[in-house]
Amino acid sequence: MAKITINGVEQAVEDGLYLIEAARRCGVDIPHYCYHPGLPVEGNCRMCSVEVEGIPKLQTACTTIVQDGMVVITDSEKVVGERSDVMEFLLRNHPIDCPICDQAGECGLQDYYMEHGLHDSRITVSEKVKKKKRVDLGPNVVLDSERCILCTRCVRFCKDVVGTEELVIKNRSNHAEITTFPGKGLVNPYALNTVDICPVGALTSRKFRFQCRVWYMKNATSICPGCERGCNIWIDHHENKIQRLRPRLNPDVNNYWMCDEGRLDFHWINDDRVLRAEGPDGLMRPDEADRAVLALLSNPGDVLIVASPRSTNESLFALKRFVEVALPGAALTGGSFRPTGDDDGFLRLPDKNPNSRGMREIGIAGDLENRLNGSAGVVLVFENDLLGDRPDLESVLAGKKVVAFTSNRTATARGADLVVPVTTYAELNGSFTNHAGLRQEFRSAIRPPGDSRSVFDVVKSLSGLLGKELGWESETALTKEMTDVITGWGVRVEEETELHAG
Amino acid sequence: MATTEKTEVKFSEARKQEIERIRGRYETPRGLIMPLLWMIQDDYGWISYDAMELIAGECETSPAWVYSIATFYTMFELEKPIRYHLQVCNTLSCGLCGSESILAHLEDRLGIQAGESTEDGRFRLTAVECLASCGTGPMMQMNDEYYESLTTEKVDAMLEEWNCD
Repeated sequence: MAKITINGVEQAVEDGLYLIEAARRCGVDIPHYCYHPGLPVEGNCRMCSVEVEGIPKLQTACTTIVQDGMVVITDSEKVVGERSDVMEFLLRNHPIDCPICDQAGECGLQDYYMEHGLHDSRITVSEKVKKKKRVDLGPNVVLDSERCILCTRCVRFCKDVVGTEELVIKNRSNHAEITTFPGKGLVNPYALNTVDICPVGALTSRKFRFQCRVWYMKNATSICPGCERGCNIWIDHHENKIQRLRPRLNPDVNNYWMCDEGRLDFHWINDDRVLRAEGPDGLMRPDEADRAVLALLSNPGDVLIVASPRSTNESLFALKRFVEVALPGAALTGGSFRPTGDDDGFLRLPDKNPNSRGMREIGIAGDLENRLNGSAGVVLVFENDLLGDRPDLESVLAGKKVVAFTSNRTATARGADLVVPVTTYAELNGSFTNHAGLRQEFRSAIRPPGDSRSVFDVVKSLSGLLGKELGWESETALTKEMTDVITGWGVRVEEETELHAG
Repeated sequence: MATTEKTEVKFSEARKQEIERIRGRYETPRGLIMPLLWMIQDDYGWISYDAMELIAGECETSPAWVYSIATFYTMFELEKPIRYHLQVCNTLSCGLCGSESILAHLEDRLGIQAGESTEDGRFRLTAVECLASCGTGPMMQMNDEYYESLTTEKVDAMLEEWNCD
């Protein structure tokens, strides 16, 4: 530990920390642009300059390592003046096009101008250096060169985090711009993280551009269902539609990052949902649907229930209990035919289901293919697009009565005799257990559309109709029992406080 | 009219030996970027994107990184030098003798306007002020040489020659 004095207060901090991080842990925020805790330091923006006793010039807090006895001042007239001057330089050529800029509302320039600038501009708009406003860097990222402050966070992300080194600065001084090599694109599968870490409106997401003002959006903590990594994410939503997904810091899982594939895979939650239950005679109310399902369950020995590693632990636990309590004799199996991917050595993992490990630990067998080929005449498929993933199973399912509990109009839903709408992970409180056995909770972000119910509510209703009790008053009680029963699941992941991203 | 010529960029055997000789001076392969940029510029007169990719391979880095460094220093020539710079006199004497039609003919044949270069970088056409050869108008200067008493036929013959080498 090193003892340092920040603004007159003596504090003990970890050795080897950069001053900016040490100060943050002591509750002193030092403004910064180029510094990002997930990237190597560069010290180019000069915004974090502070006074260090014994050194005549101001020092950048992001490149200064704490030393025992260091006396630091972050709020002197000299420091405040420096920040204001740095702001003036950074805004020298800024187009001030906030009204049409996606970053407005979460922009480092807006925030710090109000906090540390507030100077009048000495130049007119016509004197500013003009640059390109819309450069397609790659399939997902668009650059506005005029807004860029050349902090090189995006450059360092590609170079040091992904290792693809696609982005660089070309030219010097007023002509300097972020660019790729001529003819090449920003094509790495993690490219959209550059948009998150861009402290200004220079890098924008092609999909999110001009879609929604950030101040309208509410955020919910969630877990990406794209693969068994379980990256921690924010769901940003507005008017009950998901607008974008962003990575949420978890040093044990995904750090500050997520892949583009996971980030862009949310339109299925907004669109093409099953809103009402459907049977051979048309649309049904939820109670009608439940009775129609019940009519198929008269002989439990003929029933196969298919669970999915895309379901939450809570849904799977409830489903298992439902079979044990209300439908003894029925077979329960789980699994997925979703095509696997590659382990790319960074975040993306082969299994494209978020909860395969959770399903195993809950004790649902994965003998899906054998069971499907078995004699069961009634198949209840929960959140599993068997036919979408394996069209050849059509002949296997042909002679069976199929009930699809599904959020979307999947191939399985189209081939089913009965379709019952259920929620997606974005409309549920729940948890996934990732490949490493970490059970990660998430909160519902939006309201379930139409008649969509959680699997818990569905099986609770079905048990009630069968005159059986699952034994839980609420989902909270379910979660409590589940985490008590399954080893290691009682450990709650500590809620993180988001670091300043701007 | 514009023909595309493609020169393969490579390091000569002598250059390769030189590279191996100096490699040890640098802590990382990246350190070689600057000397290699100079070698290419010395050997070819300019540094093409192909050359940057060649250097990137040699320095175990991305072409983008080489591009960043090459564009940082204005001393590096990143455009192919113009081979034939045609400066057509536009001033009174030549004008009276028909320099306008000579310029128009050149624009037509080269497919560019005065002030522009052909895409392959071989020709640049400029309308200039008096070159002090008023007795032999219309005239133009190609690089350092004068071409005088021009007619469209003469111009065609010159273009034929320049375009074939």
